[in-house]
Amino acid sequence: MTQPPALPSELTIYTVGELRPLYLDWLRTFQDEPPSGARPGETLDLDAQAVSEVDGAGLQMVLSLANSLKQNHCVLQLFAPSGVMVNACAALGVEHLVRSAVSEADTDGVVA
Amino acid sequence: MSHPSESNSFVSEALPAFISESQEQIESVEQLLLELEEDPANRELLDALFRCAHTVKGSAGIFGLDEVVAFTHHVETLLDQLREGQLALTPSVSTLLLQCNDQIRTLVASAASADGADPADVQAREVLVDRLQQAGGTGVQEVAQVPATEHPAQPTDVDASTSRVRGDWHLSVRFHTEIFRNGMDPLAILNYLRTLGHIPNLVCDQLAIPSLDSLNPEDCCLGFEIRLETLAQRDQIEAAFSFVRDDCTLHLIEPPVTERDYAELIAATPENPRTGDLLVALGAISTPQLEQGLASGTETPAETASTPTRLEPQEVEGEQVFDSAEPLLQKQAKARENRSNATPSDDNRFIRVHAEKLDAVINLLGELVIASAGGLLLARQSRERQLTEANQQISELVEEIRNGTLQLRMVPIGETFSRFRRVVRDTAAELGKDVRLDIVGGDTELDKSVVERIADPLMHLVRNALDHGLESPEERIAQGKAGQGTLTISARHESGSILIGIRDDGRGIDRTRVLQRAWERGLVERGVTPPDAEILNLIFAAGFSTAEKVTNLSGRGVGMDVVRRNIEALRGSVTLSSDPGKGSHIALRLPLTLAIIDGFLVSVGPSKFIFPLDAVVEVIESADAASAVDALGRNIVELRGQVLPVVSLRALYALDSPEPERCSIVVIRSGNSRYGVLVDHLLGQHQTVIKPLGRMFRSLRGMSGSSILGNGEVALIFDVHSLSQMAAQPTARLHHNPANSTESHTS
Repeated sequence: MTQPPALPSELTIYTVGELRPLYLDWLRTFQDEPPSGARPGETLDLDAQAVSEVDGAGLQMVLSLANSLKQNHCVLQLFAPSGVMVNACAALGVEHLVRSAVSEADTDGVVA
Repeated sequence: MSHPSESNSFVSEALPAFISESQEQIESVEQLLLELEEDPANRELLDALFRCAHTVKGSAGIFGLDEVVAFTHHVETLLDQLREGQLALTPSVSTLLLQCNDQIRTLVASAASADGADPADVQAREVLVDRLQQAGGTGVQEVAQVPATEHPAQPTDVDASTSRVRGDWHLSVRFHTEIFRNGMDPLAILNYLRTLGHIPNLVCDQLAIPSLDSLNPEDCCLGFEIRLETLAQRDQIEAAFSFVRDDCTLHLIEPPVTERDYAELIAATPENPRTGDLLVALGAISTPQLEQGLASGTETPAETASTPTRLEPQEVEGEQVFDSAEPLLQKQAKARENRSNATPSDDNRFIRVHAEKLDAVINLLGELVIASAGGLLLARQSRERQLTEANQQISELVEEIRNGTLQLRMVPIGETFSRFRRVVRDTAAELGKDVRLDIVGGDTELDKSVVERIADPLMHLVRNALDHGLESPEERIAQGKAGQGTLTISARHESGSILIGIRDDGRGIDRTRVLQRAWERGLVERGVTPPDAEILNLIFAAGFSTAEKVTNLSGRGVGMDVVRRNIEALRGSVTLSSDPGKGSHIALRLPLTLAIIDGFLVSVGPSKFIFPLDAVVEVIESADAASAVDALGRNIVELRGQVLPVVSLRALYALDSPEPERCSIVVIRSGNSRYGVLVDHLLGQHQTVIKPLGRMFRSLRGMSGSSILGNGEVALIFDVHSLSQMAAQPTARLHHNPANSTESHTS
């Protein structure tokens, strides 16, 4: 497994409790057996196209995952983030998660 | 988004809680407005007032109650002008706001019902909105009017209408760990903040978020440094955080923000060692400035200055941000640990429980009390020592549970009293009187069900005092009194009852006029003048009214007789005293609870009776204690030199069981008087679950309820006050309510 599991439709306080173990499992597998292609500084894509609802707790969990990967010298980036996700990242000042993908996404309503 | 059906069910489930909480906020608004009238310069009251209105508006928005939001918005706008000192809280503004609050109350209440809006209310609201706008003038920009989902207008440097200069504010906010669990979302707050102006830059303290293995996903670790370009005032910016006031730490720096302000911010947040770096990332200060500030600033704490945990110059996306992550995370973990170890001294947590659920528990508890009494009785009859002891223990535990559970339903009466502030204010104004309301003992507690049922009688008594008792300022001054009248409502506990007093310093009751009216109404035979105390009591007679003109206040079809009936239905009593020219005092005595009391069980023949234990003073055991008779033909007993009237239950209720050789007299206290009750046997203390009397027996004098004993027998509970009146009457008049036996009454 190279890339982390895709984010679900609902990324909120109601789902983060279930999502954390899922990503933690993936992270452990990733740390034990780094994929052959994963090198320091490599960017890992987190599929965020399905996200239709996100709140501060949801985004915090993604940032936490990004922090964990950073310790493994990898960079997390959202892949094809939905408009909702792009807006949320902009609102929380973490556009760097989506910066390279933003041109592909629906940027309507980006506020920062 | 969630499915529509789910949201609908969420709304319908949460709506009652919203309505109940909003009603509390609306009550608070009213109280705060009334307090502000007394103390118009009190900034805290004004802020609290604004918060209440803002909370109602905010929560109504969540439930899509657009009318509440729209109307409250106008009120909020005016409140804001008051806070900014653009407007003074004159009595007319206060009256307007109170009327608006009434409309908000109506709007919130109508959210609960399916009925459409009342056209009269809609019209009234339109009129109020016009008046609000007139009161506020038209020159104020309504900053908060932009809906949260829209983008702000392009920034302009100067707003012509207000001549306010748009400035760059700096906000440093750290949300507390509990915020998610408290149902709030920092994302929503930041989105709202954007509606106040333009945010050119915002930096998230990403390092504060732990890595996934140590993250509790329900703990919030989000913090931000924000630059905000806005015309809004400090209050408006703070209002964006009003819902999370206790769930975040906010530093707000007014424009123009100087280097020194930033240095002070860094010094003020030693727990956030990354603040300086975040400010650099924000572009607020440069790295050399930060270094200079850290090295020189006396405001900078020594620890931070000597061991700067500063990051390398960075971009917000922060490739280098993680270099010092470990020590910082440790620091943060330590800070969090410290916080969690802190004693939760001010952590006043409440659980909101539906009153019906509590009532159901109390009903079950009543059954439990009866069942445990039954168990104890059977155990005693079996003469098995261990079984009796075990049952005794159960019984004691049940009693503890009983006390604890009844305590849950106890509420301070002050809330009910506070409602009268508005009544007194409006009524006095209507009548052209000047009245001060004093509330004494508002924290006295009594059963919620009693509180609910005395609110109306109390309201009537207060209105009565205002209408009939207190005089106009001119009249008072002419009599050498202060122009302002005083109405005092007080409450205190006294031997198992609550005593509520309503005292005014008005004209008092004119006994001649009362008597005249009683003669006219045929309540008293013409020409007969009863004793003074009885004349006053005529006011409580059905069909009595001394109001010479029917005002809005009197003439509502509710007389003092209804008040007395309502109070007596609660096993309470009303007494009235009056000093002509000096004022009147009405005292209401009510039981603390309507559910379960400690009783004292006695028997006369096979019939069982219960006295409230608090009313029992002592017991005299004597064969012929009550054989003496006074001049009025009443049985009396001499107790330590004091003569007490004695009621014989056997004679009173015509119980035809044979008299025992020895009998006992239970001495009962009622108010200031004492009297004796002749009974056959004393059966001891008994936890008494109060059941209402059946319709047939409501007319039975001296009784207030019934109770079921452990063996299934029924016992009647005495109303000690009405029994005392019967004890004071000559014996001959006691027999007009003959009854056979208590068992036949209740079977």
